[in-house]
Amino acid sequence: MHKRLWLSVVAVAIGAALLVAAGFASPANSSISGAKSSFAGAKTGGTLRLNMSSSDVDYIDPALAYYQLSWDILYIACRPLLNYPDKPSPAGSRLFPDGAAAFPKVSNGGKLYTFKIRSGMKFSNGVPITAKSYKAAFDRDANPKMESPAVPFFSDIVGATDAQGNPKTPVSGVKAKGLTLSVRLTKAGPDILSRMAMLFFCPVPAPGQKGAPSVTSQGVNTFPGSGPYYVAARTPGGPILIKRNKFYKGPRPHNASAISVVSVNTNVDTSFTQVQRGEINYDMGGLPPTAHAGLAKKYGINKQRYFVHPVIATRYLGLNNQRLFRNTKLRKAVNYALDRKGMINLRGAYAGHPTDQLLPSNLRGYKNAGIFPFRPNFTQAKKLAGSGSRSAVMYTTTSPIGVNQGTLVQADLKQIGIDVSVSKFGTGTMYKKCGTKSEAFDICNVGWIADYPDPFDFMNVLLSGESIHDSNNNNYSYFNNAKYNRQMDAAARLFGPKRFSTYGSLDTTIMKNAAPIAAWDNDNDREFISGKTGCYTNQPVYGLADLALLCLK
Amino acid sequence: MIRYLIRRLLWAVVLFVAITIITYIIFFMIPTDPARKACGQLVTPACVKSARHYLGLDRPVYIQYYKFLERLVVHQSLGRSFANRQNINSIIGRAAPITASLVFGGAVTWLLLAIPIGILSALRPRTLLDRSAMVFVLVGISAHPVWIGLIFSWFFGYKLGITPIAGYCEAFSPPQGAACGGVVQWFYHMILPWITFAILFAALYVRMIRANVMETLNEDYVRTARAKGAPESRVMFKHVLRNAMLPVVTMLGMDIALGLGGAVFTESVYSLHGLGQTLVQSLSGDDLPTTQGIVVFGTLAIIVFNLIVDLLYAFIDPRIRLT
Repeated sequence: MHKRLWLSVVAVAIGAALLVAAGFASPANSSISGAKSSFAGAKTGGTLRLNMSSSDVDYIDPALAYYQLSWDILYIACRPLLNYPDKPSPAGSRLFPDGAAAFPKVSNGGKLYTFKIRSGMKFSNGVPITAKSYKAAFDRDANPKMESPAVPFFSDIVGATDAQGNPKTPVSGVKAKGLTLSVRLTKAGPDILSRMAMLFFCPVPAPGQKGAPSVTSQGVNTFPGSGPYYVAARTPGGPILIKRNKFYKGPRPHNASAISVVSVNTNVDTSFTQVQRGEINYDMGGLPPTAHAGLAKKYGINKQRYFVHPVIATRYLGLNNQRLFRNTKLRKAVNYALDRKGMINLRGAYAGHPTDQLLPSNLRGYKNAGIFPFRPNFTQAKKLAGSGSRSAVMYTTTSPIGVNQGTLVQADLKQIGIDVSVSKFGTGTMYKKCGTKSEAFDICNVGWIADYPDPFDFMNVLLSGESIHDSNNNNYSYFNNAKYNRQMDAAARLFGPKRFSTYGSLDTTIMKNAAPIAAWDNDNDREFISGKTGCYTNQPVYGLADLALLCLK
Repeated sequence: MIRYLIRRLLWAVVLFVAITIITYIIFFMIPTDPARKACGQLVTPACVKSARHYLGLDRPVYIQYYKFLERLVVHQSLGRSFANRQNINSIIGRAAPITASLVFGGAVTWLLLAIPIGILSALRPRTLLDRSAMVFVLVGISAHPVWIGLIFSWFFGYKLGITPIAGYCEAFSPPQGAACGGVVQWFYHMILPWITFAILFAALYVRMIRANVMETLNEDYVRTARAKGAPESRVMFKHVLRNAMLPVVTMLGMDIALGLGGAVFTESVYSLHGLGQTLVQSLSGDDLPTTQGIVVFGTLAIIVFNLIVDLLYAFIDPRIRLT
C-alpha cells in the first residue's frame, strides 16, 4: 500500500509541476501581458494596441466596407476629395477639401461638379494621387463584380447604371484629366458632396498602376493608403496592422507610429479588463453594459478616460401608417404615451438622450421643437386616442433590451386602450419583416444611423412615400403623404444653409402635424481608454475615437 | 477489419448527408435574408435582387443543396461566406488549429489532473484527500466554464498578472500584426483556457477513475497477483490500471468529440477564434455556408476520431475484436 501511495503522489507532483511550470513560462517581453511602452509620456510614436470586442470590420476594402468600425479605420487610411476634420463636434462634421484643392465649381444647374485635385499627393506605395485615382474608386465601386453596397450612393451620376450592368464599362459621368475631375449628375443632387466624402470613394491606384486593388467581391485586405496611415496587413477574423504613411504630407494628425488591432470579436468583459490593466489602449467594440455607471463615477465623463458623445443616429418606433396607425390622432397619442426616458434607461447609463424628432440633435439643421414629452402624458394621450380598445402588433428584437422595450411599450400603450402583443425576432429578421409592405405589424422598434451627415439620409430615406416598394423598404412607418413628399423633394434640391434650415423646419412640421413615427432616442457613443492612452477625440461623423489623434502617454 | 472499416465509412456518408440536409432545412425555416444584409443599411430592391443572385439564393433549395454537395465533392470547397465572402476552407483552416489546441491540450490537462487525483482517492477512500477530491468534483461539475473562465482571467490575468487575460498566439507563422507568436507564447496563452476547459471533464474523470480503480482493486486477479508475490508497482500498472483505464479510453474518444462543441464557452471568454466562436458568429449572422462548413468539418472530425478510438480500443483490450 505504501508504494501505491507513493506512485500516486509522484503522479500528482508531476501534474502539478507541469501546471506550475506552465504558469511561469511567460517571457518578460510578452506583449499581451502588459509590456510597458517605451514611449511613456510621449505624445507621438509607439504602437497603439486595440481590440474590437464582439465585433470585427466587415471588410477593409473601401469599396465594400460599410461598418462603423471599418470606416473608423478607413478614415485614417483615406484622403477623399472632401473629408471631415479631426475635430470634435460640431467642427468635426463640417466638410473640408482634403484630396481636392478647394470645394468644387458647380455648374450646369447643379449637375456638374468640377474638382481640382491637390498636386504632389502620393499613396503609401509612392504612386502619385491624381484625378485618375479618384475615378478609379468610382469605376471599381460600380463594377458589378465588386457587389459594392456603395451603388445607391452614386446612382445619380451619369453612366453609373450602365457601369453596374457591365464590368468593362466605366462610369461615363466621372471624367479625369490630370488634376481635374468632373462629376456629371443626371439631376441636381445637393447632397452629393456629403456622399462623395463617404469612404466608398477613397482614392485607389488606377488599373495598371502599382498597387491597384483587384476587382473581387471578396475585397482586398490591404491597399495603398492615401491618408496619414495605411493598412499594412489584415487577416480576416484576425489582426489588422495600420502603419504611418510616410508619403503623406497633408494637414491631418498622425500621433502613433502604428496601430495594431490585436484581436477582433473579443469577449467584451475580458477586453474591458485588458483596457483597465493597460494591455490594450482602447476597445473599439464598446464596453460591458453594466460598466458605464461605475466608470463615470470613477473617472468622470469626458474628463480622463471615460467619454460619452452623441452619435448621428435616431431610434424610433415605426408606426405602420397602412394599418392601425393610419389615424393621425392615434399616432400622436402614442407619442404622448411613450416613456422615452424609460426606453433609454433600459439600454444602460448614458446610452443616449431622449428626443421626439426624427433628425438627430447633433445633425446640422436640427431645430428643437419640444413637441412631445419625454415622460408619458397619459391624460393628453387618452384625449387623442379616444375611447374604445384596440389591439396592435409590435415587432422588436430578441435581445434582452429589445424584449424589455417591448414590455415597456406594452405597458405605456395599455394606458390608452391599445393592447400590444409583442413579437420578437433576430435583428436582421426584424428589419426584413418590417421592410416588407404586406407584413402584419403596427409598431416596429427600429433605429437609423447616418450614412452621411445630411438630413436627406433621414427625412427622405425614412419618410418619403415615393420610395415604398413591396419589400426591402427603409420607410418602416409606410408614411406616404403627397404634400410632405413634395416638400421633402423640394428640400432635397436646396443647397447650403437654406437646405439645412428647410429640413429642420420640415422635421418639426411633420412630427408635429403628422407624427408618422415615435422617435425616442439619439444614441451616445460611450468609450473607455487605458491609463496609458491620451489625446482622445471623438470623431462625430464616424462616432468613435479618432485613431489619427489617439496617442500613447 | 476491412469489412468493419467499410461499414463505418458507409455509415459516415449517411450521417454526413443527414446532418447537412438537416442544417439546410433549419436555415431555410428561419425567416431571414442574407441578401438584405449584404446590401447594408440603405437597402434597395435592386441591390437585394442582385445579391440574391450572387449568393445563389434565387434558386430552389434542392438545387442549392446539390450545388453545395457538388462543390464539396468535386472541388473540395465549402464555398464562400455570406457575411464577408471569405473562402470557408480558409476560415476553417484558421479556426480549426485553435480549437484543436484547446481541446487536445485540455484533454491532456484533464487527464493530468484526473488520473492522479482519481487513483489517490481510490487508494485512500474517505480520507481528507478523498473528501477534498470529491469537493473538487462537485465544484467542477457545478461551475459553468464561462464563470470559471471569467474568474480565472480576472484573478490570474488581471489581479496577479501571471497569465494573459485573453488572446491567442500562433505557435508557427503568426500573421502580420499579431501581438505575439511562437511556441512559448502559444503555450503561455493557452494555460488558462486549458485549465478552464479541463475542469469539468477532470471532475467527471476523477469520479470515474476513482470508482473503476476501487472496483478493480477488489477483483480476484488482483488478489491473486498479490498472493503470488507480484511487486506492488506491477500489480498497479499491469493489473489494476490497465483494466481500470479501459473505460477511460472509450470515454476520452466521446468526450473529445463533445469538447469540440463545448469549446465555444472557453473560446468566448478567452477570445480564441476557434470553430466554436466562428460557429456562433455565423449563426448570429445568418451565414449558412460558414455554419454548414463547420458542421461538415465537425462531423467528419468526430467520425474519424471515433473510428481511431474504436481501433485503439481493440488494440488495448485483446478481448475486443473488430468484426
